[in-house]
Amino acid sequence: MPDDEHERFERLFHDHYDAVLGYAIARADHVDQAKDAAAQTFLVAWRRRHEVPASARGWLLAVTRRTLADLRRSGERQRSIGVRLATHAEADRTSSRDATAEAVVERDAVRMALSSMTDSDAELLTLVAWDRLNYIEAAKVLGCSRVSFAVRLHRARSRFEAALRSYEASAEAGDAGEEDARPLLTVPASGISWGEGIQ
Amino acid sequence: MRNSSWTGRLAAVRPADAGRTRELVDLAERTRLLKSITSASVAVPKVGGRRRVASVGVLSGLMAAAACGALVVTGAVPLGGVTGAGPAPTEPVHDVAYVAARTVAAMDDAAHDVIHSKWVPGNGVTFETWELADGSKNHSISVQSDGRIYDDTVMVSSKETVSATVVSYPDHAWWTWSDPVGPDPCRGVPGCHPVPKAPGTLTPDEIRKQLASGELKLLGDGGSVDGQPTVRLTRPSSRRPLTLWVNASTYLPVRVEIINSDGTKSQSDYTWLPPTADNLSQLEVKIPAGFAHSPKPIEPSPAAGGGK
Repeated sequence: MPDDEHERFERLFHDHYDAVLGYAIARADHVDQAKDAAAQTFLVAWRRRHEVPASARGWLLAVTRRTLADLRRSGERQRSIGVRLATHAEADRTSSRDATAEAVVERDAVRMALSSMTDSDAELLTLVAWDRLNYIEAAKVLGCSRVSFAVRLHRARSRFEAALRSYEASAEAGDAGEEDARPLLTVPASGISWGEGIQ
Repeated sequence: MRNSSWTGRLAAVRPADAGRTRELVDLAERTRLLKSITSASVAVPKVGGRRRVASVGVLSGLMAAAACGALVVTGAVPLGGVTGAGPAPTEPVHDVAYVAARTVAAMDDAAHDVIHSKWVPGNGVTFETWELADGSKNHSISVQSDGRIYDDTVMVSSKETVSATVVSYPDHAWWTWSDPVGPDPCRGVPGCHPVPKAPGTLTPDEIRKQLASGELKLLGDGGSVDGQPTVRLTRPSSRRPLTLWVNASTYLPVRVEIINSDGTKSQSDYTWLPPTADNLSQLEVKIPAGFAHSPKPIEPSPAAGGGK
């Protein structure tokens, strides 16, 4: 095995391990599952090292995405993003994050809005907001083109912002002392299913 | 102080552990993991039939990943007349590497074509798309199961922006929008050519990846697709089985069929059109008379869109 091939892979591993593990943790059911997914991602990258593009992050996260899906299928029933976010919400209240009442209410509203999205919409939004991927990288993760991704993201973002406004309005109504402060979600269902990206 | 951008607000609810990766997996654990990965080895398939093989090591707890990089060893298949009972082949015997290499070369030659595709995702909606093979422009019309057009969209992609003109038939309206995409990371990166497509189908780049994956098997004669004799390849073992038909003479891809996870079939047919004025005109959107211009995008209503 040529030394430079090893060196290139080690650089790839060290440059991207945190991004891959962070992506997996944000979506896995638990940290051990995320660690497994990250390990398997780099095993695939090692095996297919001649195919890894120079701009590797999108390629790696696409592998992580598939690996996580496989791990979930082989384990417990897959949890929706809403359930996963709810488990993080409690930890968030005791973390070092800004814990002012306003900040907590704000984050709860965002979580509720995100939870109300389809998994497909949530995935689009979080690839950009959580993993800070550009359109090309995110499109690579989902197996679609940059243009398709832009269309889908635009629609998902509109739905998310509408949901967020709805939750915020409900929260404000609750603050004003109205009896029923439950969020009233008025976001329409997405128009046409875009189907699944190729795996 | 509340973050006003949607990305900032979402980033605030990213699970906190995702930002603690260095605490959760320390340097020693990473070093052990890296060593265990690089001590394992597998055969790495390459287009052209060559294959790199090294010794197989033990990678405790990680070998389940085999499903992600499974090798499919394919035998040589005679092209022409192999479907059904096997008459003696009258054409040269080829293997998947030969067909893959010819297909890639054909796609290289057609890099400036307009690709017309029809995608039937299996949910009653049909997407008809014309796209420049360089990924810079894409025109897509979606038609509902009752034959009514749902929307008609042209997207133009540059290094800095993606802009679109959308004609919504349920709303009798049209609008434009534009999003910045930031610096194009494909600039100067060999092999990085984003190509627009309808999701659920394969772009030329994705077809290339499939051909290079080593996971395709050559099934031989694919019968006639739109009057063209074809060769059929398949990726049977994945979560979403895929079949690819290429023209038996030109080797350009003409059909992709994907079995979705819910069992429905998603089929795309491709026609490779030379970049004539007529074919390029298919990339333009047509706004029907009487449709109103909307200053901003209109969200689809469940009644109009048909839902998921």
